[in-house]
Amino acid sequence: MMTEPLLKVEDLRLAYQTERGVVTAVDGLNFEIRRNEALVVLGESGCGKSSLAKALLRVLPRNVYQYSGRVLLDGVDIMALNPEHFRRDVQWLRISLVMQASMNALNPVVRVGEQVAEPLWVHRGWSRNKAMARAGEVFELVGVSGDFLKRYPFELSGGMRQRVVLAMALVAEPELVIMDEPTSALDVLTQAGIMNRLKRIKRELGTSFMLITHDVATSSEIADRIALMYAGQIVELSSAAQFFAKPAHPYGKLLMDSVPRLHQTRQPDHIPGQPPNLMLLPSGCRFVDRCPARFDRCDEDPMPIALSERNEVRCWLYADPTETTNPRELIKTPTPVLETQPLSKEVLVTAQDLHTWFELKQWGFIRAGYVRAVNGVNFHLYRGEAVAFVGESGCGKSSLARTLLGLHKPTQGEVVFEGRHMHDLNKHELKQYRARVGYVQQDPFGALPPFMTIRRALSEPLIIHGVSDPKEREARIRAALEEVRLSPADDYLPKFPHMLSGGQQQRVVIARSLILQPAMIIADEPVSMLDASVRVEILRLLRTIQNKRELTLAFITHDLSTVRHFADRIFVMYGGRIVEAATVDDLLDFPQHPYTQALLAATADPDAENAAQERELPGGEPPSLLHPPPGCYFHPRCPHAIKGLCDVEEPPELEPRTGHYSACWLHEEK
Amino acid sequence: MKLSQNPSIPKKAEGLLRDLKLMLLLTCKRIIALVLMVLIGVYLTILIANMGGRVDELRLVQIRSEISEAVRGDLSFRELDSAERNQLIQRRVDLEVQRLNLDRPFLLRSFSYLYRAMRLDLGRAEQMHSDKGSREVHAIILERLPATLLLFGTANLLIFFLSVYTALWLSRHYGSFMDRIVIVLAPTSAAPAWFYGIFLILCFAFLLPILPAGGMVRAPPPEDNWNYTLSVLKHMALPVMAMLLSQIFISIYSWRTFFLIHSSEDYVEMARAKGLPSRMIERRYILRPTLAPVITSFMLMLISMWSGAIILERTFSWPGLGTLIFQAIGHHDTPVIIGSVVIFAYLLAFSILVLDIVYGIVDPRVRIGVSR
Repeated sequence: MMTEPLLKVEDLRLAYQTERGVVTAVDGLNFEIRRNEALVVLGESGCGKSSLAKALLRVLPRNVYQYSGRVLLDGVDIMALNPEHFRRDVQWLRISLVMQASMNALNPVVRVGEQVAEPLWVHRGWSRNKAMARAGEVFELVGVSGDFLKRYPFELSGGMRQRVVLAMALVAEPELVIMDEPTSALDVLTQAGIMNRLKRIKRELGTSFMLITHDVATSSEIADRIALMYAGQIVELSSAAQFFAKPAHPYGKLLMDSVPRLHQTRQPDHIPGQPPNLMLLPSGCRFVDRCPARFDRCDEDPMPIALSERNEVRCWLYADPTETTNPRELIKTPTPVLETQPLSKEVLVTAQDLHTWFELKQWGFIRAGYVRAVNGVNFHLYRGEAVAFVGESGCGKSSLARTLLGLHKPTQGEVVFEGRHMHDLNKHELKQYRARVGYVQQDPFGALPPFMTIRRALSEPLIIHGVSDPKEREARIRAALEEVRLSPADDYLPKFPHMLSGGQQQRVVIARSLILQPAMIIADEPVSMLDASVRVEILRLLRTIQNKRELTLAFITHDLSTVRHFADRIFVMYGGRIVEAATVDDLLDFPQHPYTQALLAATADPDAENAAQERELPGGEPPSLLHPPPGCYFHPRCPHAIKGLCDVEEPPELEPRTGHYSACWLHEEK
Repeated sequence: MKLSQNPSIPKKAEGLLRDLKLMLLLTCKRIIALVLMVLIGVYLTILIANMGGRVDELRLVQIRSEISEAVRGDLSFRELDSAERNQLIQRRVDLEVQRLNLDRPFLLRSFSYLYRAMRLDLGRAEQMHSDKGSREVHAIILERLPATLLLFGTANLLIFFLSVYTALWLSRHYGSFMDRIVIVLAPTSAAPAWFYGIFLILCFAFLLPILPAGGMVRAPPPEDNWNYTLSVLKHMALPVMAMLLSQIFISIYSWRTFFLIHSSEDYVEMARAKGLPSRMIERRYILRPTLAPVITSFMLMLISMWSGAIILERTFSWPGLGTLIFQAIGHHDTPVIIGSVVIFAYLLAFSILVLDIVYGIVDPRVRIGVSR
């Protein structure tokens, strides 16, 4: 490895002019990336990490206020180049970008092959055929067949689209690839598959990477070095091994503790407080308000302090090299252990052979088939337990939630709630039922009407359900806010949703779902839109309330690692069916169904070792809900599939361990 | 891990070949749908124009009174007694009724009308005739159609291209002086084209007489082609300008906003990061993905303009279809009214068809179908 850095960034600053003031997104960054090195920029949303990517590639919005510093690429300052020169010689040929996984990163009306090959004929002047041939090569490299070159983006699945975006970044063989949250919108298996590809590309092509992410577990998959960002600054810069084992900055330490892990019995903590406003930055250390180890000197802005070679931290705790203070000892984080109630055996909800199918129409009136979103699901939920439904996107878990809420009518089978069949309920009883079931949605901002104050949003369900006394309403609203720990209530009641942070918005949504004293709460991915440090906080809150009120909590998630401490039982869903059901510990420690095993194998706990190996993953894509495969839905991807059995007959629900159900033929022989 | 990550998709025709096939399929589907639409529209017109058969009674009365007047006025029938005369009248009335097929039930006749209308065999006018003296509705309309197509075709193409390119330019110069002017002028499109027409006639034909106030060509028409074309162009200037004035600012404004919103899409940012030249970004990454919605709004504009044609043509005494309908209504000439409406229906259907096909060309999602 050459010691001369490939990219050296010196005092990079980027600020935007907005209506309310100047937002400093990137504030004096210094770092370097060597050849064949992967630097992970880790940080919460709003810490300026995406602005960093844009600043390096000069894709800036109109309202730039300040943009300065030096960016040396192989010793040449590319910031000093004029725009035309930069565009022709640097962009994409030497530095390329992978954007966040979405439909939007690709032009919907241009064939993907052309989009990938485009930089070659624009920058290198290659002929179309030559460029397309090269695009085909890169497609194979990222694991997409060359047949897809002539397809349009909407004909590709989400995972494939992200691979195409990756292919686009690699097509001109750049020295540095900047990746901005490349996998955050993808499913666990797809995500792990792409990380595998990245590791291989890094090993084989020797490309340098800069990965920008908020997800600690993902970052450990490829990182050689970590740059921890907080409020526009890099607060810690160290090697991955060092960071994952023993982060130096208090923020890094707290962040690592807030990551839920699959195989750890210690409960994750959250980081109290919020990041500072980028418009009104404090003069001292920016983390000071949230730091448990603060002392007098923290009012001064700390300088980066070198701990060893290429390893520095912005924290006064390390100012005196003679004193070897370890922040781990300084920080006393109280870890209140969540007490869980013993399970009661009173059944609250039963789903019997539940099917929710959606009809597909062709030309507006001809039936073209059914989307089998929920396809034969049976379960009991007991009073006072927390249950997690886990599965990839498109496995029918949200449709199941909506069916339980009575928003979709089951096509077949039924839901029994407190001994009453739901389809027997008349309009009035259905209204009462809805008061008995609370709903927490995924996107808290979308779930709250933007034109209603918190007070109105919370009083609405009460008015609808006939609480006519304003005093009683007010009292109940205050009690609910107290319960979700938004106090003092007066601070929040007159506010509008956009004035609150994501975590606070989600608390309001939870308060709204609680205000009618429900017996059950259905939470559909309640934390997937929130930052890592807030996630744990919201999950703990839900769990505490559920315990205290003896509620049934049905909690839908795609992330197995968050489940351990916040649920009693897990249902794993695949292709509209439940493939495995067991208590949390049993399922996570002794997974029975091959699909669950694959999911667990793909879920990473942050560890520097992750970068060294590729994960074992099943190939293929989740089944089509329109034309599901015959037999077991997982058999086309299953490594243990038994020919002539799994692809013909549906597996029955078996009980390989007591209380642990799995729908798989493998358990039959035992 | 092998390449097994890809789902095995059955091999289909790829690229251009597939697109051609799909486009053909799309076009066929569209034509069938539009023929059905025109069929229903024309049939409704027939029903309405005949008021469900009530018009026939009026016509019967009209025929009877006309014939009896003619017989009474005819000197050669003077010596016939009243019974014989009445018989004669009755015979002639029956003959006329038979000739016009009025003796058959209305429902059957409506279908034969429909059949003939769809074949563009529009029957004979009752009162009106073409400039060449033909009574065929067909001939009357055909004489007027080119004038309408010329006027509206020119105006619409001009509006479309002018607005799209100005809008693109403005989206690049967001907040500039020109941009502000367009925003200020956008509400002027609230008034219809004929309204501006009246003012334009006042300004450029009377106060400052440089352009003709109405008509399509100088009377008498110039002999040679060159002068003829020039004269038509001169006559077209005011109506085209009126249409331009009433549509262009709002379309520039709305499309500019549209382009602005789309230029912050992720793929546009990606294209910038790729270092593509800004011309290419504009054409390929802003204009192309947004062309389909732009065309939709253009289509809506076009339809409203077709319906506004009657008044606009009257304002400028443009000898087109609109004027024809106006005259036909004045003369109670049912066949001509139906005929013109049929032609309008065809024109509308045809413009929708063309735009649908254009839609299929510009947006692959239309020709391939997202649900697959």
